[in-house]
Parts: sequence; C-alpha cells; structure tokens
Amino acid sequence: MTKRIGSESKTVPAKLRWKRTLQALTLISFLVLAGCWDRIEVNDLAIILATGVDTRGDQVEMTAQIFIPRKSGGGMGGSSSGETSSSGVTMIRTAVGSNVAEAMNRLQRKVSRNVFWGHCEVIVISEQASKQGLHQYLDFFLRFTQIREHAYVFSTDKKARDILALLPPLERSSAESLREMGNLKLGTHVTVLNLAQSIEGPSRSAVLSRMLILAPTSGQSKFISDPYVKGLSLIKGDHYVKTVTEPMSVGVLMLLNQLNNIIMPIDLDGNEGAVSIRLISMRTTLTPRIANNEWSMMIKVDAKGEVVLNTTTRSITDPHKNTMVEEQWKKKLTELAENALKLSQKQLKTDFFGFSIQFRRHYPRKWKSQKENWDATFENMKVDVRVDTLITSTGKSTDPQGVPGQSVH
Amino acid sequence: MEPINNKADCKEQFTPNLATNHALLQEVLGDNADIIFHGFHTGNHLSALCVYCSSLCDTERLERQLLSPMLGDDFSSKSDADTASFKSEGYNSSASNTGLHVPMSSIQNVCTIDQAIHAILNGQALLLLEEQPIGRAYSLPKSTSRAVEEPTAESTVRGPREGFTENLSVNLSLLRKRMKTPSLKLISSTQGQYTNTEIVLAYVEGIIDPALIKEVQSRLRKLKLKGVMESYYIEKGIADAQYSPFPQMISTERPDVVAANLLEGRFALIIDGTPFSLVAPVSIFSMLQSPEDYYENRYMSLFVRWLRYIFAVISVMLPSAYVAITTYHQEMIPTVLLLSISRAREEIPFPALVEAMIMEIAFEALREAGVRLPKQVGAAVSIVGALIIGQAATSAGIVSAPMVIIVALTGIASFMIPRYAAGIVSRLLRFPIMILAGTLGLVGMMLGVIVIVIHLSSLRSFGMSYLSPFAPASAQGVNKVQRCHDVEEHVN
Amino acid sequence: MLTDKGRISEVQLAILLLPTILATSILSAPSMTMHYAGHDMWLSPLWGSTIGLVVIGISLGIHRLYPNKTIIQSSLQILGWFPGKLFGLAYLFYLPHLTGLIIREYGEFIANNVLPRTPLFVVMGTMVIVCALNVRLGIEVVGRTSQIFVSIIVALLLLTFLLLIKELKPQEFLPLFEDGPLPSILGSIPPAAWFSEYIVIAFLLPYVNRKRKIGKVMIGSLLFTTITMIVTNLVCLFLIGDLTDSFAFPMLIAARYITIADFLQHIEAVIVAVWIFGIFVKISVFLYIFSTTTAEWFGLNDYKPVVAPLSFLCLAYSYWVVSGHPDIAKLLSVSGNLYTLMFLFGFPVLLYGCALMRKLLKGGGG
Repeated sequence: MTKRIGSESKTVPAKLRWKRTLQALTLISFLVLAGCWDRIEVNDLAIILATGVDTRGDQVEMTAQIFIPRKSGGGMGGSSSGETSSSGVTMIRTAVGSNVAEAMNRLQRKVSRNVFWGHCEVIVISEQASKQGLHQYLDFFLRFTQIREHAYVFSTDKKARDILALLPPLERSSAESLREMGNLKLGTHVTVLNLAQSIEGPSRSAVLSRMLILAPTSGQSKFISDPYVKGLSLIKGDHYVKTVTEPMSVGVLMLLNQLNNIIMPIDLDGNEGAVSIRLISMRTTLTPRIANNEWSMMIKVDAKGEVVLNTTTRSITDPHKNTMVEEQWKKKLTELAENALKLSQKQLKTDFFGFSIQFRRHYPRKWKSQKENWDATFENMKVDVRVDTLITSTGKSTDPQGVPGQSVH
Repeated sequence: MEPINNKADCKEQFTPNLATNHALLQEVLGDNADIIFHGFHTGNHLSALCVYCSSLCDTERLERQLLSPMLGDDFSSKSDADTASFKSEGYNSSASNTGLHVPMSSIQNVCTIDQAIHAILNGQALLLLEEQPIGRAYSLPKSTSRAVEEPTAESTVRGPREGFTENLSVNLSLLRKRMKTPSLKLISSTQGQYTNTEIVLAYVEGIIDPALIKEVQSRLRKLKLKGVMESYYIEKGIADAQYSPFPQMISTERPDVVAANLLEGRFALIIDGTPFSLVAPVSIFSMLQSPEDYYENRYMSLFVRWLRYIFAVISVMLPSAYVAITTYHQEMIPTVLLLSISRAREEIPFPALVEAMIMEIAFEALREAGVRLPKQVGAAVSIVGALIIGQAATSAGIVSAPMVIIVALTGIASFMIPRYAAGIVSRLLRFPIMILAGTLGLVGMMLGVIVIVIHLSSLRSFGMSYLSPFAPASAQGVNKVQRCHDVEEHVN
Repeated sequence: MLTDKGRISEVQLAILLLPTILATSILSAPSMTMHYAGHDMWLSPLWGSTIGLVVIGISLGIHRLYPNKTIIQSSLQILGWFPGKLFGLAYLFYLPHLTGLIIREYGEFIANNVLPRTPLFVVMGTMVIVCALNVRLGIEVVGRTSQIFVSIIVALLLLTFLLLIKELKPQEFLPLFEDGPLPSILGSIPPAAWFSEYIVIAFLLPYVNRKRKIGKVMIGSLLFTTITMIVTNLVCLFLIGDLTDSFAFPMLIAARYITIADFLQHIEAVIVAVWIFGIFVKISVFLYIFSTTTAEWFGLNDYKPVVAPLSFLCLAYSYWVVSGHPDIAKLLSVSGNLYTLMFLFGFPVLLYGCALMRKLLKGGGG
C-alpha cells in the first residue's frame, strides 16, 4: 500500500479541489443546458428497414420501407398477433430525383418524421438501375453517415419498389426476409463495403443475388408474399450485364467460393435412378502461375458431400459404387465450373472470380507491367480446373431403403 | 445545564475540606434531578460524601458493594490504619488499600473537579472523605445497552453474527475478543463539547504506519465539535476532502470487519453511542467489498466481486446510457430491439430524458418512503410503488416498459453495493450524468465519467490515493485487491 | 525549479504517453499512411518509430546533461540567456498551435460523426474545461487519470479487434512491396510526426521520481505504440483493403462493420469512447506542457494560475488555425507533418547538438 500522509496544507486544497470540480460541472452544464441540438426521440424517427433503387426515365426513384410502430401487435394480447402482422407493420414511400441524394431529400418531404437510415440493412437495386451504373449509389451509401456499410445488397429484375412493398406472412417485414436470406447465404453474400471493394478492385466486377417475388397464395392479397432468391446478376465495371440462373449460377457461385446449401442430383450411367448429394463444404482456391511469360490459373475445388437420396438399388457403402458417385459428381462440378469460366472469359470478358486479385497478390511486378493488357490476357488465359470430391457420410441408412424384398437376400 | 465554560475553574483541585468540595460540585452539577449527593458517616465516624448519577449508576450495586462495607463494622475496625495510609501515601497506594475493603476492581483516583465531573457523568460513583483532597471514583455502570445482535445493515450468510451495539465497552470487548494480542492498541479520547463522547482509536502496532496514527491523532485534536451523535460527525470532520460525495472512511457495524481491516494496516475509530465504527484509509475498492468475500470460496467471491464492480457501474450509468442511446445513437440498438422500443414509446408524451428523470425520482422517493416508515407500512409502500409505477403507469402510457426495466435494473444494481454510503453516491451521481447524456449523448456521458475519474484521482483518504492500487498502479496491490483470501498474508 | 510539486513514476509517464501518441493516430493514421504507402502501409509505423527512438534518446540525453530541468530551462544554459529565451518563445507560439489543432480535430470528429447539429464551441468547450480541471490538479492527477483511461482504452480496442476477427481477410496481406519498399518509407512520414510527439518526455522528465529504469520503460512504451499502430493498420487493411485511404476514419468504419449474431452491431460508439478518453489525456498532456512552459518562461513559481487563461487561448487557437475539415487534412498532410517534425524533432536535435558541442568544448578547454 502506498501511503503518503497528507499534511495540514494538503487538507485545505482538498476542500478546494471538490469546489473546483463543482465549478467545472456548473460551467459545463451552462454550456450544455442551452439546448439539446442533436436529440431525436425514438417517437420522432421514421425507421427505414430497407432501401430500393429504381429508375424512372433517367431519374432515380428511391423507395424506403418504413417501420410503423403502432400497427404491429405487441401490447397485452398475444393471441391476435397472427392477424396484426398480416395487416402490415411496414409502409413504403417513394421519391424521384435527378440523383440519389435528391431523391432521398424528396423522400423526407413525404414523411412526417425524421427519416433514419441507421437501421437500413438491406439495399435492393433493380437491374435496370444498375444498368445505368452503380457508381453514384455506392458513393452515396459509403459517404452518407447513417447508412450501414454492412447492409446487404440484392438485385432484382422487377422493380425494387415491389419487393419492398411485400408484407411477408412469416417475417415482420420483407427487409427482414431479405436479410435472413442473406444470412443463410442462399446466393452471394455481398455487403455495401464488399460491393465497393470488388468493383474498385482490380477485377472491376461484382456478382449480386437476384431476388424475385413469390406468387402469392391464391385468395391472398398480392402483397402477402415473400421475396426469394433466383439466380445471380452479373455486374461488369459498375454496370449490370447479364443474369444467370441455374445451373450456370451454381457454377458461378462455386468459383466465387460462395456455394452453400445446395443438393445436387447425380445421374449414374448404366444404373436406373440417381443419387442426390448435399454439399457439406466446398472450398475453391485460385492459384495463379506465370511460366515462360504465359499466364495461367489453376482452380482447385474441394467438395465434401453427404448422400441424402439414393434411388438406385445398390448400396453406397460399396467402395466401388462410392467412387463412381464421387467421379460422377466431380464430372458434374467440373462441367459447371467450365461453363461458368466460359461465360466469364469468352462471353462477357469479365473477371468475376478475382483472377486479377490473385495475380496482383502473387506476381505484383508482372501484374503491374501487364495491367493495361489485362483484358486480352484474361480472355486467352489457360485455366485448369481440378475438382476433388469426397462423400463423407451416407446419412442414417447404408443400404437403399424401400426396395421391394431387399432385406431378404 | 450550564456548560463548563471556564476550564481554569474546573481544573481546580479538591480541598481537604469536605464541605467546600461539596459546594464546588454542587455549583456545577446542582440543578440535575439525577445527580445524587449522598452525605453519610462511615463506620469510624468520618464524614463522607458520595456523588453519583442515579440514571447511570447501578444503585443496587452501589449500596451493596460500596455503601454497606463503608457503613459496616468491618470497615470501622480497619479504618484507622487504612485512613492513615490513605492520608500519607496519597493515591499511589490507595488502590491496593481500598481494594481490601471495597470489593470492586475499577477504582480511579480523582483530584480535580474537572475529573470528578467527568467521572460522575460517565456513570461512576465519586466518594469523597473528610480531610482528603482526593476522591475515588468507583465504576458501577448500569447495564442499559441492548444485547449484541446480528448487524442489520451488513448481513452475511456466512460469518460471525455479532454486531456492534451503542455501548462502547461492549464494542471494545467484541473487538478484543477477536484480537488477543498486546499489539492491539486502543487509545481513548473524548470529543464533543457537550456530549463528551468517548472515541477509541484502534490499531495494531507493527502493522500500521506510525505516521498515519500521528496524522489521525492530530486531526482528531484539531476537531472541535459541539456533539457527536453518530460516527459521521467524526468522519465529516477528519476526512481529507470534506466536500466530496464519496465516503473516505468505511463505516461498519461488524467487529470482524474492523478486525480484518486493522490487520491490513488500517485504523478504526470506535465511537460511544453508535454501533457504527469508522475504518480508514480506504480506496474505492474497499467500498465494493463485502466481508463475505473473505469467507467464501475464492472463485465464487471473485465472481461476485466482479459482478459487483459491473453493477456499480450500471447503477451510475444505465439510465443515462439508455437516454443517450435512444435519443442520440439509435443505430447502436439492435434493429429488432429498436423496433420494440419504438413501439413501446409510441404513446409516451415525454422525452426520454424527462421520462427517466420522473422514474428515477419516483424510485428514489419510494425507497426513501420505504426506509423511513415503520416496517408494516413499508411493505404497503412497495406494493403501491410496484402497482402504480410498474403496472398502471405503463398501461396508461405515461412511461414506457423499457424504462421501467431500466429503472428496476438500476435499483437492483444500487442495492448490490455493499456499503450503504457508497450506494448513496451512485444515486446522487446518476442525475447529473443523466442530464449530460440527455444533452450531449454518449459524448456527454463520457465527459461526466471523465469528471468523476478526475475527482477520484485527486481524492485521498488519509494520504492514500482513493484509486489505489490501480492508480498509481502497483501490481502487488492489484493482486491483493483481487485476491479474496489473503489469510496467509495476515500471518506475516 | 519546477512549477509543480507533484511527481509521477516512470511507468506512469510511459502510460501517459500512450494516448498522447495513439489517440489521434488510431483514427486517421491508417488512411493517411495508405495514401502514400499503398498496400504496404502496415509497415510504415515500423519505419516511423525510429524517429520516436531518436526523440526518446535526445530527451534522455539532454536530461542526463542537465538533470531535473525541463527542456525550456536547460535551453537557457545550453544556448545562453537570450537565445534560450528565444528558443522557449518559439515553443510558446508553437504549443498553443498544436494544442488548438488537437482540440479542433476532436471537435471536427465529434461534429462530423456523432453530434452534427451541436455547435462546435460546445463540443470543444466542454472538453477543454474538463482538461483544464485535470491539468490544474497537477501532474499526479494527470498521471492517474491517464492510467485509468489507458486501461479502458486498451480493453475497448482489444474488444473491437476481437469482434472483427470474423470479418478479416488475411489474404489481403499480399502483395508485399508492390512498388518496392520506397512507398512504405514515404508513408512513414505521418506516423513519424506522431512518434515525434515523444518529445513531451523532455518536458515531463523532471517530474519523474525514480529514473533508474526510465530508458527501458520508454522503449517499452514506444514498442507498445508501434505495435498498436501496426495492428490498427493491419485490421484496416484486412477488412477494408485498398479502400482504406478513401475513408476519413477507417477504424470507425471497421467498428461500424461489426455484426455479431445480429445483436452486437454498429459499435462505433466504442471507438468514439476510445477517441474521447484518449484525446482527453492528449489535450491534458499538451495543455500541461504549455502551462508549465509558460510559467517557466515567465519565471513563475506555480503554473496553476495560468491554466485557465491558457486553455481559453488554446480554444481560441482551435478556431484560428483552421476553418474546416479540409484545412485540418492539409495541416495533417506532409507539409503539416514537416512543420510538426521541425518543432518536435528538428529543434530538440539542434539543442542536443549544441549541448554536446558545449560539453566537448568545455571538456577541451578544461
């Protein structure tokens, strides 16, 4: 214990010390009590859950999904919650402006409360809007203080406004449905920051998940429905170029190392029936190589899967059969990858999979000298795809089930 | 009663003349119904005067142990020799002599009026004999104090159940029973011009820094009070920073806490008339320490201690954090939570700051009402509070449910602070920080924290930094604060 | 003689220096460094720290030659009365400039990111009052408050880094030396300006009560700041990549990016807290140095009476030095950094050179 005994002279300033603290506190409160400049009560906020960007002519149409605090059930009675949620807890407001900032400003005029973007976790950009260039949107989203860098970005071929207008029966709002789908990694998993990184990076491209609207159950209002993931929107530079759907989108996701949650049916030659494999994990690594001034890329895919369905009559525990399934799966994956590569290299001439990033990482000097000719280099680059597949589990059963008379022999 | 204004007067010695002595005492103590002047003749016909305070002396014992031996034959037969020696040797040997005749152990010789008055008012019986300038004070205390009970303000699950009482000698006995060592020093002094309250400074020689004792004694000497009703009178007078809201001494009614602190090199002031003793020097960490930390499993007490640190912060900061975040930094709240807060706040007419103030003030009022009222009514207060604030106010849309939760949590947090005096500080500091949070958001809150830290850094408790051992840091000290079981260290 | 009776330990001095260097650098250094150093910006603090090493060496050297004197007091003996006074006067003009700039930087940051509608005067005024209070209570209190806040800052920064681990992409580490090592050395100028602030040691050394291990402790402090800067830069690089230099405060973006289980998100307030606590210590240190220097220069016995007017002066300076955020950026850019380096590095080096020469001449003459 360090002890320093205060002499008499020390006790007196001690009194003054607290007085001085008091004085300072008073001074601060004078400064502060003059007003609460930045105070905004929660009651005065219009909380935006999702933003949509569309175009109208050459103007920007901005849609905001706003949370309605009153209408959502809550309160005491829990029984009626099913009905209250379907009557809607969100509303949308749309404004048009010559650019995104102006549209946002006009949006505020249509809402009686302070528009608050701090909880906007989903941004939907229609393909039409992204055709005209993402630059201004990205700049705005990364500059305007309130908007989150972590917001997910989706693309849609319909109007973004229509997706935000949905009132999903399961979730509180379509924003929440979209966000949950982003978390499930059903398509690509792109935040605003990721999007900016990939567009501004050497590959100058991006891939977004494409959302569609599920047809409502008959008899329901057309708003009572869910958005769902279908396909991918490819972006070259900052422009939308093409939509791909399955099976091409699977190949693209595979090369992006973002393939998750998929079950693939595999036909086996010579045998009637098929085996379906659920992907457990997949890792795609890109290895660039420059030998004799010839640029090439090696793509290695490691896939692990689990059998979830076996409609053939033979057991998968049979090593021969197992290898056969793995071979077939491998073939299928290789084909998917090669198609995706063809699309990227020959058709769209865009480096969606970040080859350039890898070359820059591993051959910084050569990359620098070759940067100008990258497009030509990329188009003619030799790419090796090597797929390794492994079936790690056959599920609960070993032998095929439901085959008549199987257990007899 | 006229105070003893003229000290010189009272320093006056007793005269050999009994009548003069009687008159002198009568002059000072005369108008008191409970002061008895009992003149009589001893067995050998000496005139004697016994003066005592009937409200403080055990009169039965007085009669049995003092008066009857003196009046009886036994006394007269030995009296000549005794009186002779009494006269010749004065008070040096008188104790042993009188001890033969009066079956009593605590006898003091008194030679000035001042001492005599002091003795009488402390419940001793004063005996004056003819032709002797010395009186004898016999201690015959009437036992009026309550029994030793379990301390109410600091209860523990495991640990001794004895608490200090209002009686100083009982308290000293409780302490002495725990520390049977000659190194335990108990230095007595009196304080208070009118109350003449006895204060005992306790410390363990060899452990405590001697300079510290000197410092305390000099501060006690400088202290001039009219009276001492409770230990805070002393605490206020000798603390380093008297205007600080932070307590700079621990007040405790547990003898085991006092003993443990003495062993750690602190001193204690045990004050007559109150069960609360003072312990110093202390740091802010002592304020967050419960005696049970030493009595329970070390991991458990470490966990509980950290829980307490966290809740101490919560008790000061939580309402302001809620105000700051909901009115300035809504983006920090998880989306789903913000949605439910916004739903709950939709009908509320007040700004969050005002809502928080209303609730906190109502809560403090409820607590105060509950403490002051008799126990039976106190329960009613809490029912009314829970019903009105918890239920009715939320359903009427005057306060939001999240705010009720915040206030309740803050309340629980402030109850977790084991030292009552430190708990009061957290209640007091909550309000200015809330205002700062309501005007500048988190920035204001942090400015408030900075001001508190500056104050704590400049605060000292008897020369020891209030934030020690963290600032100035000493690894050893931190270790000590965090280790609950330093029994081994006590041995050294 | 010194104008403050309080003393601190050498560890306290080391701790005091951490926020003095790190408070402002954590937020803006990654972006500024990347501007020059590109992808190799994480290396720049390493080069920059050599300046810190030199400055620490000079401070200790001057103090060894003229023990228990601040640099202002020893300059009188080294250079003679008149040049020495001129030397001190230069600092009297420079210190409020620097302090004002720091205060303004704080104000701009808060006004831009946290309280956009609150008047700048209130934001800066409240902070200056709190700092002045701290400084008035003496070096001991400054030392203790810094200890408390440094422990909070370290805990909060660690928390931020830990929560970000999930989002980091270590593959961003490559390419290394894309354009050779030169950019990373060029990029070390901004961190060097921060490291040169280690010169405050020369002002504070006389207040240290035990100086036996002072060298080691100071090197430890330097190591800590360097590592923190490198880790901050790496975190920004791994999270934001090449976009780091397009943000004004990359660490703030990083903290905003945290999302743990949809519950813990947007915790930029943590970074704001780190910034406020850090800059509080930093302003206090510079205000303390400014006050004691002024008191020494005018030959006062006690620095306390000058604290309040000088704090007000610094507040006024914070308006004079710049008119807006772009101006601050300019002052913090290379030319501004050179200006800072001149006062915090160049002048002390010259002074030390003079002191050594004087000693040599004396030794030769005697």
